[in-house]
Amino acid sequence: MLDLQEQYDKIYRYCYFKLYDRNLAEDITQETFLKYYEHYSFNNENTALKHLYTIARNLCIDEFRRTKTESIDESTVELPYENDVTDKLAIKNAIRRLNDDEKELLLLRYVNELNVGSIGEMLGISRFATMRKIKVAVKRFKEELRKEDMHE
Amino acid sequence: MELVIDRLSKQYNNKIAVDRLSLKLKSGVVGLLGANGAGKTTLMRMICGILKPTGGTITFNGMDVSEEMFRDALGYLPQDFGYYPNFTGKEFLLYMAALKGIERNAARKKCDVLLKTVGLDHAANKKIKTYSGGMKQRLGIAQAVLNDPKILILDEPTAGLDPKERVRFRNLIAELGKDAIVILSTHIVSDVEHIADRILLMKDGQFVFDGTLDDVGMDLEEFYMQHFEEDEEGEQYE
Amino acid sequence: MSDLKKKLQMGFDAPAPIRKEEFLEHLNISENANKSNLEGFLFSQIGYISKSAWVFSLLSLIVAMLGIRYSDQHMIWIISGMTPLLALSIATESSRSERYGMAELEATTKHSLASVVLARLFIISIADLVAMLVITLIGYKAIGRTAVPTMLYVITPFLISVFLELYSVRKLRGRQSFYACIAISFLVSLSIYFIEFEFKTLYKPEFISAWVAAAILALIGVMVQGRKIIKNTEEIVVWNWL
Repeated sequence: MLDLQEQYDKIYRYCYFKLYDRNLAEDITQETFLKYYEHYSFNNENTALKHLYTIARNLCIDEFRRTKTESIDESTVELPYENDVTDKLAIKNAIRRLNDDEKELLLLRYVNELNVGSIGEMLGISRFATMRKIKVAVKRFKEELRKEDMHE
Repeated sequence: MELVIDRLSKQYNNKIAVDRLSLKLKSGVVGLLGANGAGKTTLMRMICGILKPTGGTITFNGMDVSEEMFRDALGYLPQDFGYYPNFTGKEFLLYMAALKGIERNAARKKCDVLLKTVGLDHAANKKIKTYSGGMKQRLGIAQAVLNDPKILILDEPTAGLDPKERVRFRNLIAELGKDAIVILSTHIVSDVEHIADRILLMKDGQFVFDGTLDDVGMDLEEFYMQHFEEDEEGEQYE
Repeated sequence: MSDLKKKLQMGFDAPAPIRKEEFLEHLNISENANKSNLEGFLFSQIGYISKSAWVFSLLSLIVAMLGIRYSDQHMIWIISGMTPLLALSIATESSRSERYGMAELEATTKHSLASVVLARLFIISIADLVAMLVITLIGYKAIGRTAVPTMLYVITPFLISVFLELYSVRKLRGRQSFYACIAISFLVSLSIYFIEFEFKTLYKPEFISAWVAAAILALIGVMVQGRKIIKNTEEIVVWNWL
């Protein structure tokens, strides 16, 4: 049984960091859930999540195609936070410099805590390849973070 | 979340039991007062979908009363309900859960929780035949809230309960009124006084008063008596 | 939590969603709707068919078997005429809710009274049909005919009764349908006895085609009623209880 409260936030977060638009992200989140429940009802959580994310991913891709952009330049769109501490800002900047795939992997694996197998299935790559890509993404993130620290 | 009743009517031959009622309800407890024959039970049965109106509509969030989804959002405690002989309290609850379309495992968990909430967990495996009136009412309320209803219709839920149980019921109903539309039909004025956010006084199939306790401006019992003095010889519609 | 995770969670901090509660509330209602499926519902009803209905069916089965065992060829018509009475369990099941005061409560639930009762009736009819087949398979040897005619003689009156009774339960209310079912069972039964008594041709070999036709028609009738019953569990039913 999916914990809807939790998964709503996670899917929303996933969509937000693809679209960088609160309303749009929420719209797509809701559409994702509606579509899921229209056709599926899996008891196995992993299977359910896989389908949920796949739907969300495809909807985001559709959204990009619709507005004819490959990805959004978030430096112009993201709202500044009053509560951003320097550390947080450094982290955000580092993330910003990663490419879309790397960002996606890090978010799915470490923030939304999806398991590697599910991520692989969702992206259509082997578990092994997924782990490798995640490792690379982590390395890149750490590199960028170090660069940020060196600026201070 | 809104229950909309629009020009609702129920007519039998040449008697009008419910006369073009219009009402909009949001969450909270509504006290429905009125003498027997005023049309309360008729109104409630129409909202529950077991009586077909002769005119007007009832909708909840846009769904018509005749739709399955409407019934899915509904919880009903009739004035008097029976039970299949040999049912235990738990079996009864599980049976109602199945009727409400609640999946088996979820139903088992819910029933255990609810039986505890209404204080019947010690009697769960005893036959309903052995239950006291108060226990049966508590079971009735448990069944009514099984499907987390957004509309809860309670017909004389505290009649026949002792004072302590009545207080317990009131608290439970008040709590439920926070997230759902609760329609409480009763002739026990003090129930309404204590927990209703809105009071509807019904007479001859119409609402003769619609407001809060403050709007009444006097002792509710007196107010009620004032309106129904003439109803001593009122005709019975039910 | 690892340092990496902490950092990433800080970095991927999205502004809070604003329409969550409203949406989840709406979803909750429709989620429940999709969850309950037809087979689950039918299965759940099996347990609630009253024991007396099963007992009745079993009793009839036994009586019919005894009849076959101790009868000679000429007695087939006795059994044949008795099978409509098996269909009586339909009558009792259909009015059970009302007799025990559960009707009002059941009517207000998602699956509602009509669906519940009809689902049970359907289950019983299927069970009885199976019982019928069993009777004939055991019995045809004793009667000295081939299996097919015997099966027809036994099943057809039953099918006719079931068809007519399911139809009347769908169209009539509680008490009325109860009496209607009883009437139908006895009428079919008596008709068979009467026709056989008067004309003595019902069970002659030449007449077999009539039985075949009747059986097929009745079977179609039962299927149609059954299909309508199943559709009913998803359809609108507003019963007027007065």
